[in-house]
Amino acid sequence: MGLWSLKEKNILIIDDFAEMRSTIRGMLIPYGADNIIMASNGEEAVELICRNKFDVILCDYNLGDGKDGQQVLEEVKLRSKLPYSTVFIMVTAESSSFMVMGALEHQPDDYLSKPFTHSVLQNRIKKILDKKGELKQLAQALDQGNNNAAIALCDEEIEKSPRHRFEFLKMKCELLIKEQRYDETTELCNDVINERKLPWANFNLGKVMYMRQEYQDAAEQFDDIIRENPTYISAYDWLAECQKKLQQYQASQTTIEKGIAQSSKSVLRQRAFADLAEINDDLNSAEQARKKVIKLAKNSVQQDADDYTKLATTLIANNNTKEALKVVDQLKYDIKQSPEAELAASVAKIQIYTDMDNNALRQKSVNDVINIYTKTQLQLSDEQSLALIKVFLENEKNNLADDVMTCLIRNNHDNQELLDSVRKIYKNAGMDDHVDTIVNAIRKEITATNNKGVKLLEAGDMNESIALFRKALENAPNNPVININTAHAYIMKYKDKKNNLSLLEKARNCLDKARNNEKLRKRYKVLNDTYWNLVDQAKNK
Amino acid sequence: MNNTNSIDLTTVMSSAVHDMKNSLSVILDNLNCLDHETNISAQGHQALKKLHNEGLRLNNSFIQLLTLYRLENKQYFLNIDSHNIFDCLEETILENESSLNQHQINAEFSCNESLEWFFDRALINGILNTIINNACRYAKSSIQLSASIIESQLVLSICDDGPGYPETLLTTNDSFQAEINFHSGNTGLGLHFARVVAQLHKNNQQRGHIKISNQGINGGGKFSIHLP
Repeated sequence: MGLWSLKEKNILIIDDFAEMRSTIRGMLIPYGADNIIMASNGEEAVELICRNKFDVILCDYNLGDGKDGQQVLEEVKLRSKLPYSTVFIMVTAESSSFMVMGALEHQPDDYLSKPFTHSVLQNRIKKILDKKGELKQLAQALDQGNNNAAIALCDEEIEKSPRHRFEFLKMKCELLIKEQRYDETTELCNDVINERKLPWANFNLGKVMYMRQEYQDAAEQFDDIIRENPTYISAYDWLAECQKKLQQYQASQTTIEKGIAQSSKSVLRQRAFADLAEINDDLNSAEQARKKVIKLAKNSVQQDADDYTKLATTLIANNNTKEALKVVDQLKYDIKQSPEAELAASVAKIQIYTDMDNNALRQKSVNDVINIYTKTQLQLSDEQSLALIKVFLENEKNNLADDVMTCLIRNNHDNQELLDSVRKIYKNAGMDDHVDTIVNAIRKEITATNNKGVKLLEAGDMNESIALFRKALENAPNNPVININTAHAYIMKYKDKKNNLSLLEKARNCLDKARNNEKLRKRYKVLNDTYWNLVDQAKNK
Repeated sequence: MNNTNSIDLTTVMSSAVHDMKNSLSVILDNLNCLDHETNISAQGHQALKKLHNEGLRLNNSFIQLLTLYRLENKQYFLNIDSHNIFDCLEETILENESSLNQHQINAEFSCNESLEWFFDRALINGILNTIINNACRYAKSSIQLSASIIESQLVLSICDDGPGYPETLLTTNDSFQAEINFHSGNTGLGLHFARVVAQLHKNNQQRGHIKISNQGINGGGKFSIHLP
């Protein structure tokens, strides 16, 4: 059997059929495999992967009722429990290879279709292990999230005219998008297309158009891909997003429905469908889809209290208050020890009891909301904050409403869409002047702080600047503008005194909070590049 | 009348083939389990291997039939991606290792290690498997696989040292009927599938095609597929 061996490699086999598990196990034992663990369903597999470091994972795509192989892969990747060095091979039945999975956001290292022989299986494992063994630096960069370093390493590999040049081109392309280096992405995709019209290049061109808010062009791009290959599943998701931005809500819902017809177990896809069905007042579809989301996301990173409250709202609209109450109780049961979930449940109950004309219980729920809000440290999503403002205003707790609102605006003083939503809620309560006064004051205050801090920085007074920004962040920990300025200050200070690595760490935390802000894209890119250069220099010292 | 009957028949046949393929999977899985039993004689293992090889051959044919049906009914769409040819050829030989051993045939391949090309891997794999399977039955002792780029097309060739293709097949290159010979067991499915799949691969107004000749090893059969 040659020199290579699977001895002492940690191997995980995931398949719902016991015979298949033992067949695969039997195929690996002759190659020295002595450390094989098996899982019979997706949930068990996720647990195992999160608790152990495997060298090789063989996962069947079809795993019966629960999570499928793709969901297992997604879950462990989202939880950052799958290092690049682990080989993940998806085993597919011939009939599921119809679906083009090459553009899914989370991809395995390889697909292997059944039936396969032991020599093919060991050959695939060996090849990928060898390849990854040679790419230690790349693995490190990817695991650290140092995308720019990973891009540079991809370039080095591409230069070497390797066995899998296009694999590196594709990896580079996806990393460029993550780093928002859109010009380079477009150039790379066009170069690839000139050589050969590969669907992933067209797909990523479409993604860049979407990011640049060229929704019409992007929609056409995804439409083309679907026309040429209707099994290109990710193109449906992105086309639907474009149509949503273009306010073609009916078309968008239809598009996602087609994607679901081919692959129904994705939480994100089902959630997108439920959201659109709600927008389109298609309440039956919304109810069914939201129930699926809750079932699919149970015990996963994608579980979200909002799904329960939205289902409750839909059920109320469908005149099923009884079930709505059950859903809210389910929320508290499914998401334990989360004050945010409890708050969401109580907010939903207010709506339910209002609908049932049950004043006593309604009042109790209002009190619950007030209690939770005033007694716990909460991390609220924007949507939850808006819902809370509404509840407080409706129950004449204007001080509390202002409290939530102030916090929301402080964290988002530059976000016009959100400001409009806040204003609308206050306007409905006849308090638009009131809200305008507060908003203007906050914006003025934050702008002044930012200007002052930047000036201090320009004058070389890093310490004063950092102190000022840190104080501002106490009230507005998620404000992207303050965060990016703070990151800048930390980086300047680090450059001044190169010994303190904790400054770089602090800069990273701030940068991450500014990452997804469209207006700050250029500044983010410059600072992020600087950050990674400094990290590299520190390492080489 | 005639027309509707024939449509019904293909549909019936395709769903029957699908069902047969499922049965075959169960048979193959059980053969695998049997093979791991300890109380089976060497002869028994030999017989199991033979059964397993025939099973894989059958499976390959079923997949080709189903794919042809799906192509015809626009249910199969080409999935073009880049693939390393060295890896593909190596894997084809590994896949057919057991058959090659059973027929005592030596298989070699030659190809530049960094050669990449663009095609639907599942379909091209099916073609390679069929051709090697046939070569196993006709070759005396060896087959050779090779790949290279000629006039911006990938040319994959498989040569054997058997008696070569019958004259009728070589002269009526495009006729499907000429290949069918129920006595020799040559159903023509393999070559038909290869021809259809080759033509589906298009690039820059060029289409893929296949060539068969008796320019193999010592006048043996040579099969080539050209992909633009």
